[in-house]
Amino acid sequence: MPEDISNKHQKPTRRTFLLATGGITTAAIAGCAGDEEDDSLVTHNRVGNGDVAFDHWTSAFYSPDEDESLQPETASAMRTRFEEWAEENPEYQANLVYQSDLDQWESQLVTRASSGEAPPSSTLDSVWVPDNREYLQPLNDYVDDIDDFFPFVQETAMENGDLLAAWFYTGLRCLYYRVDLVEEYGDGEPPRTWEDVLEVGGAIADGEGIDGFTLQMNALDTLPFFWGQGGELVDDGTPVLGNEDNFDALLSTFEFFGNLVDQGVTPQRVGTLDDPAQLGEEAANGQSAMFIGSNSRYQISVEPNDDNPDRWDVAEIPMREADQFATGVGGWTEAVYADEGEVAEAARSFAAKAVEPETMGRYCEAGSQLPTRASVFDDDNLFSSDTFRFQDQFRTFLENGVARPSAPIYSEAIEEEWVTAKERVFTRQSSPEEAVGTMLDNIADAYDGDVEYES
Amino acid sequence: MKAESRVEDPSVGTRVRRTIADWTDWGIVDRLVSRPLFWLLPALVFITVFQLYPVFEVFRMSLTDTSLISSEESYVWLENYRRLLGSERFYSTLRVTGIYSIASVVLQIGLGLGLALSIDYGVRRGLRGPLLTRVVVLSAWIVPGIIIGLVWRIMLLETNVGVVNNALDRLGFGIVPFLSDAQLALFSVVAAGAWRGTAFSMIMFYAGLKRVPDELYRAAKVDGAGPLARFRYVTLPQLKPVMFVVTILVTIYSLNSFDLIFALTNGGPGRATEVIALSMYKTAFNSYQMGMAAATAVVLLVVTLTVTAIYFRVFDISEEI
Repeated sequence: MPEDISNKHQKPTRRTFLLATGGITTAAIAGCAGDEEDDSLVTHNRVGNGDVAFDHWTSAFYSPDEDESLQPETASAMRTRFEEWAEENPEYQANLVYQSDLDQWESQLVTRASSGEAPPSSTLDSVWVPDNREYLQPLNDYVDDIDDFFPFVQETAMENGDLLAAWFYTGLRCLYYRVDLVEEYGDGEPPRTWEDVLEVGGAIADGEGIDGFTLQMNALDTLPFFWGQGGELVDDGTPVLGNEDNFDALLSTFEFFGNLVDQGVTPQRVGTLDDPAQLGEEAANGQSAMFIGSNSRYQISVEPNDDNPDRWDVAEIPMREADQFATGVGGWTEAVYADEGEVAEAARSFAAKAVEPETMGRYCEAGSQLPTRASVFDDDNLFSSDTFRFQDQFRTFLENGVARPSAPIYSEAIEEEWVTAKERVFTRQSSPEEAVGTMLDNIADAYDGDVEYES
Repeated sequence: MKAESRVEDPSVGTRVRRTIADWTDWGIVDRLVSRPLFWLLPALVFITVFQLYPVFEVFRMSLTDTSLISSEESYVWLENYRRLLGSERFYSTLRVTGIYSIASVVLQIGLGLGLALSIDYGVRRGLRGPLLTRVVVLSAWIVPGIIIGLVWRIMLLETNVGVVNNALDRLGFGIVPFLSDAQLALFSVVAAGAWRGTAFSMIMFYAGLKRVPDELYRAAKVDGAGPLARFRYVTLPQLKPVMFVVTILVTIYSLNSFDLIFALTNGGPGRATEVIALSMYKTAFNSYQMGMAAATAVVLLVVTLTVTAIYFRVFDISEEI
């Protein structure tokens, strides 16, 4: 599941999408005639009014209309981006087709693409890119200075030098912690190692009767524990997480999960928790002292719900050893399926516009997101350093960003098996050894080829 | 002769048929419409196009490595079945499906029959409220499974926000892990399914009870039969055909359950509540392995047909059919 579409405003759960799109569809039907007659350059359903028209699948999170957008604070930035593109390309017109359910959107794209019926272009969660790789068209001729993108973009969205998706913002995972409680029950420093988490988290849980440390059952929130030890999931398309070096990192990660529950630091119920908003709101309401969340979780859940949000601070995700660092990065992209003709050219220029430095900086400031280009990060005129709280820390954390692997086996098996194994440990159905063993077997079964975990 | 027939049988159908026959001289249409196949043809075409062909296509796909993320497809023949039957996940989902189905059949038939008997009892004695009771119970069956799953999920939240846990906590029982404990999660799924499905059983049994003649009860009473004896020797035998239909349908619904479980637990925690249909969905649309998902569907079909065949043998209702 994609995690980072929302960031500033709200996590786009399936229910959010359904409700929002239901409302938007109703409004769109009601105002259909009006929109057709609207000759504005940019409307909720259309960008530009040229003769070369194409459909662009997207989410209402990226609407240019503040009244219709699920993320109203970014609507202005989206409108500026669309207006600039429409003025630069008066012969083109992008018809925005809003998608509701994320899973269905993802499945529809790959199904249609495999039968040659994909839409000309679409907004894609970065984790969808590998599954669509075969059908995406290079954007090199339309995007300047491809080397400017951070390494995780180049590893995930590029193939053989071709940029297949315009990754226009990213988000990361970090540790949110209550400064007052960590000072009272610890040494005042945020936990850097797992041992620190167990120690201070356990003390807080015992002393305050609240959850010491929580996290949700999402792969991206917990994979950094593994990546930070140097663990690798995939090598050249083949699952290698069971290899000798990786196995130790893998097992120790799941043993840490087991210790969290066994020592009463983390409640068993997180084994069913898949809503990041719930995690943040519980913390804001004083039910937990530390949790793993996205960079936007503070703005979305903590600040609006906590009477004293200043008591929260962020730190890098605790690791097995103090000198290990990693965070999971996600984000959304614009990509093109149309491979030739005027529509393809129009769609490519439309996608490329999203990653122009000015466009990217404007959107990231508006949405409290993080840029994917180093030049944007480094230029205060493009991306102001005082836009939102913790921005400087996030800038540092991003240096250790790791994206989910760009291999089909990740979405086909690894992600689901990782989450399942984690659930089994947190809910005490399996020991870490059993959960890891089953996970490795299932991934090997799902892989279309030989997997021989080196031992 | 023809003129005489027209006078003897003036029905519109006959006249149209004969008019057409007159036109064709050979009477082809007449012969055609007099054959059963002609009248069965629309149904056969419908079944072939919308049922048999999809089943055939699923079976064919189960022999391939079709994937949603690849345009290439090749036949791997029985490889998908070999992998499926060799995987621990399949036997786990089979076990969960079995427990869920058996519990559903027992609970839904037991509760449905109990409710139907209660309502029938009330109606026979002219008590007020049976209609309202039927409507209230039936509303559970009308609501989509996804909605019921979400409602139960909210009710069973493992914090004080959850309705059930809030009540239990106030009563001093503490927070019960309805969804994060593997056994309790399965129990929760079964309870939610029974809550929904009991309405269907109740309506079917109630309809069956309405068909039991009062004379039989009166005769049994005259013979000295008590309430239990009347239930055993009058009600149950009279409900046998309904019992058969309800058992078959509840079993099929349970074996194919998906929406409610998807919304309530999504098969978790750790696949503790993952039934075959949900596993099939995840294989197809999360892992994109359509060939493997099709093989799972074929196995589920075989399981369903086998259970149905067993029911036919156990119930022995050939006379009623």
